[in-house]
Amino acid sequence: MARTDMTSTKADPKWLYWTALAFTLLAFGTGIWDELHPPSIANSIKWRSLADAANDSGKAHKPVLYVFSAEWCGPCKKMESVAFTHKDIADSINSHYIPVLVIDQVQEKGKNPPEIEKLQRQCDVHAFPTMVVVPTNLLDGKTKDIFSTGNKIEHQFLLAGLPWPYNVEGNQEMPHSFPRDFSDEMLDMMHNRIPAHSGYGGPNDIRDYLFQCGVWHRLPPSQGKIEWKPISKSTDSSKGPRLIAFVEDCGNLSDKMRLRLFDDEESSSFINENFVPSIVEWKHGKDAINTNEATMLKEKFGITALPALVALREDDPPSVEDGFTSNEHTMQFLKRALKTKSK
Amino acid sequence: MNWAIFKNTLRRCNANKLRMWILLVVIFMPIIASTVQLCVQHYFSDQLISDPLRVTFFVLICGSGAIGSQLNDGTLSLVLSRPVTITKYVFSKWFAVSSASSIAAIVQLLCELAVALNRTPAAVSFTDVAINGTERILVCFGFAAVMILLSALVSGIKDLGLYLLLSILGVICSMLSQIKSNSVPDGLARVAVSIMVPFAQQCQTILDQILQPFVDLSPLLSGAFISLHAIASYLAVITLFLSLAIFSLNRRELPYGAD
Repeated sequence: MARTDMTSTKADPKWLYWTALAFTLLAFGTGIWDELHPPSIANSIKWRSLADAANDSGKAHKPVLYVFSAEWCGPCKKMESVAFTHKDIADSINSHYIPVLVIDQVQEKGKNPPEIEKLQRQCDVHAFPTMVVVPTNLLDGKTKDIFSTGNKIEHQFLLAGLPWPYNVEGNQEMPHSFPRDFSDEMLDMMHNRIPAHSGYGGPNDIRDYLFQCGVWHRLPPSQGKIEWKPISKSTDSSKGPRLIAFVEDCGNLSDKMRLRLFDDEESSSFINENFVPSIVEWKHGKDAINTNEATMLKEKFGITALPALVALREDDPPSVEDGFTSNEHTMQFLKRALKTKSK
Repeated sequence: MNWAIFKNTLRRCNANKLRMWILLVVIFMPIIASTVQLCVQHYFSDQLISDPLRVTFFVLICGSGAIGSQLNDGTLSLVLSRPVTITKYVFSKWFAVSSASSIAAIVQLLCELAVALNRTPAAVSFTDVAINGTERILVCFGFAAVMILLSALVSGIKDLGLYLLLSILGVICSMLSQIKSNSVPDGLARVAVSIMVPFAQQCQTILDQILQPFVDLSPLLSGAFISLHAIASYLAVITLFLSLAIFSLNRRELPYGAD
């Protein structure tokens, strides 16, 4: 006969209650420990002082990234201790911007110093944390509101295949003939204002914002630190295999490749040392004219998605890699292409 | 763990046609969205793999009314008339809801991966996808514990209402916690704001951990360690909410079937 379990169906699982209590106490304890000993962010991001920002920005030709924060602000602390300690985010900030941490002092001292008060007004800061990217040419202190000279709106027009009507800096009214389904964000961009980023939604949120800022401030599209050779003259195979980069003049992945691969010191020097690089820029828009050579090359290598990299070696079929995700991934492709050559 | 209850929970979820249709639409949304996007805009957005926190929706579909519906129709007391403890019952329910929503979340990830591989194979990082998949499963198991407690507290699918209430509270706390004290006039209002803001921040942190129990695994990508606080908070949410669900059911008079 089967043994019947005589335990009451309503028996309390004390082991579970104790485990829950232990984990809850551990969570509170580690939370308090993290509050008292926040991870050092000074080593990750090279913060500059507010006074030196304009000077440093002018010298380095990099826009300033203002991070408005406050001592009492929980999401700010979370952003500083989590997002800013991610290596890729810290590297991106250090290499593309002059970062300035602006701490609000109203809660502690009753009011802010005049320069912080003025900056908060200019950047329209209403909440913490807020991030704003300001180009060098707008740090003269005369600008009432801070506007960018970026080309986000142009980028959107090109993606939509629309002709570019006029210079963005004029602040003209939008013509009636324009499509009406433009989003509010696009209308805001029409005035070419840098959208500030308020709140903290995790590391990916910060990555997206920094990437978008990279696109807005790119004028003209960057060709990076790679020593590009003209296509016709890059046939000398003694210096290494040829590498042809097909990039769009707009498009998220092409922008990523330009900003992350072409501008990166390590990857650009690897390409310069091991390949004979050439670039084919693919233009978009109704009136865009692409050269016969570009069209021919695109068809020859069967490229359907941009950006793409083609490594050409003698006696070997071409290696084609389309899209762009990270420098590491592209470097793997380039190293594979070199290995095939050596075999 | 009681496998009969586990299977029964999965069958209950399958039996509801509306739930299954919603689940299928959400799972295959990436393919539908990318097709529509390609037809309308002629280009794809950069975001090919969605955020792991979105899978809380799967838990809501699979887990709403997991216990509450059995309380409502009186079948819970019949189930417990056999020698099954409430602890086993709650654990089986939690495991069934977590498993069903994890499967849905992984199938959706595979759909997104298929779209991404078809569009730009080089833009797919398999390490990122593996981390995203693991985070999805963690969210499913964590949030399922929360839904099990909500379902144990109320009958039917009123747990969805409780979830909505908590979400609204989270939004209010988030708005309050970002108020700048110098943007309000001097005097009593500013004092009130200076007291209210830190309180709202604490509430928001706790509600975030409850509504999105999650361990950020991305530090692993840069060779860093995962925070002990994140792991402890995640495990605390699961054990605490399951304990509260068992505690609450143990002290409840269960009604027999109405029929």
